[in-house]
Amino acid sequence: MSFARSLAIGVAFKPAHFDVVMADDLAAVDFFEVHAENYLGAGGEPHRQLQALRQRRPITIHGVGLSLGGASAPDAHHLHRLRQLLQRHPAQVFSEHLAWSSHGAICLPDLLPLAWDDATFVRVAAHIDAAQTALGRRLLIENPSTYLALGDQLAEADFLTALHQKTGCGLLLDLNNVVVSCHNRGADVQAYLDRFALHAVDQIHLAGHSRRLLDDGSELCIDDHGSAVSAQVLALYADVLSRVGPRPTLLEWDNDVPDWPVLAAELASIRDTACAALAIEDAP
Amino acid sequence: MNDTLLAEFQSALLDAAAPLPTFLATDAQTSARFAVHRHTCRSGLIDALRSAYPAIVTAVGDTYFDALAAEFSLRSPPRSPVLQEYSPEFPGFLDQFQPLVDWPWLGDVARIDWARREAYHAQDAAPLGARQLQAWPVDALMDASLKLHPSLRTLSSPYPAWSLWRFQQHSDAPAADVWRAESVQVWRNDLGVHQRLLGAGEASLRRAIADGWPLGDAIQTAQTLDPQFDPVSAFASLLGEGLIVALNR
Repeated sequence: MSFARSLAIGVAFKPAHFDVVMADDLAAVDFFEVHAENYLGAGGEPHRQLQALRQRRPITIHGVGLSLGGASAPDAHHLHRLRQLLQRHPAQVFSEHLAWSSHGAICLPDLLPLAWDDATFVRVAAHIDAAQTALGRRLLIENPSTYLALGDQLAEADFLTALHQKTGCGLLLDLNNVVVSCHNRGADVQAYLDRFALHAVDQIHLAGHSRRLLDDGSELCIDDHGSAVSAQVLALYADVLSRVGPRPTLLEWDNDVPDWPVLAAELASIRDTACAALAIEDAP
Repeated sequence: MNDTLLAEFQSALLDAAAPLPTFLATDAQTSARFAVHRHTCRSGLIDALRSAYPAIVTAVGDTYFDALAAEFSLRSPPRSPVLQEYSPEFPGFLDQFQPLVDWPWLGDVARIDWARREAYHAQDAAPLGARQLQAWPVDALMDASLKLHPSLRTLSSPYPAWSLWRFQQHSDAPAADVWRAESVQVWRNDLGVHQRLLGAGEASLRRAIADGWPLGDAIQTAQTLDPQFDPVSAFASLLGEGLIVALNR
């Protein structure tokens, strides 16, 4: 069975957990995910840790710096470094975001919004093609969490589906981002998922979000990865799995990161949800 | 969004005082939504600098550091999507920043922090041991050029930068017994990143070797510069600290 059609449950690796992870039997963990940009140094501790992790479990690599939605083509030097990283640390998946972060010479540490229109589509599709060619592999593209609407002509789910059809990229469905974006833009979550090319989803991301009350009394959902996965996101996850079957699923907990046993328990609870949805025995 | 709109969006993110991009609505809702991105960008850059320059955070305090970092990130935003590489330009900014004119040593303290960041990520290399040097007659050794560990950084300051850096890490260490020029080496071995005070001769030796000088010439220069320089113990330190990774005839 391929990784992309397996019920592998993974977690975003935190270096602070390295020692306890290496001492753990990892019964709850099927893979680890790391951010590419944290492993682009020449050597030292980060690579030693990643090497040791890879000996225990497969890894997936998640990029945050390619700026596929930017005005210009993805940076050739950055692509070169990513290619070297993927050669050094073979990964089951390399994924990136449907967003921009660089413009001109300046790179910002955020995933910034795009307008879902034809001009953006042509540009992003070309950038995905260029990245897939340079990296010599298929990318998974993740749906973003958004706060601003920028004059859309197309639905976000249609935009992603069309990107898959045009470039052959796979999709990374971040269900927390679906909930955050739909809430913030007044869209319906079920309608979003109904339009999404679920058959092209090769990985699922789950995370926690928070809610901020604005001065006008409305609530903004913030994708802060700082808490357990919400009940709403877990229910959606069960729904999606029951429609498409098993998919590798990652827990992202990047802020206020709890101790390892809390993460491991959260992974076990995600696995329980998945097994119930798929009506299979809970045996990793 | 075309080039102009992206540029406008980008500069409004970096500068908290800037107005919203003109293509966005001007209502409070939109402003609050844009603020989420502005916060992520600005706090991301400030946190990146905090993690790269811990001694400067201690030296100037949290509040002032955040203001310094915000000012710096406005003037020198990242040129790389790799946040751990942000930013080697910060020490130079501290040197030039007018309000810090009475703290001229701060930039060199920051350079020690940055050398630690670079040493942490530097390429791996296996050091030579004493046994591998046994086959070398002294004459041949003096004519050889040495390759030093890729993590090694040698810094020299007209200020007691090492003592001041150390004081930020361990407040029970003396701030600076004597106001003098200091040199420091930062390097990495299997146990992690280290730093220690260097004599002027030791610093000169490392620079000359790094410039490709034969060991004998590098020693001679160090002796001329520093009467206290002891070639035997200096070489033993290089070897003992795992800094020699290759010898070339």
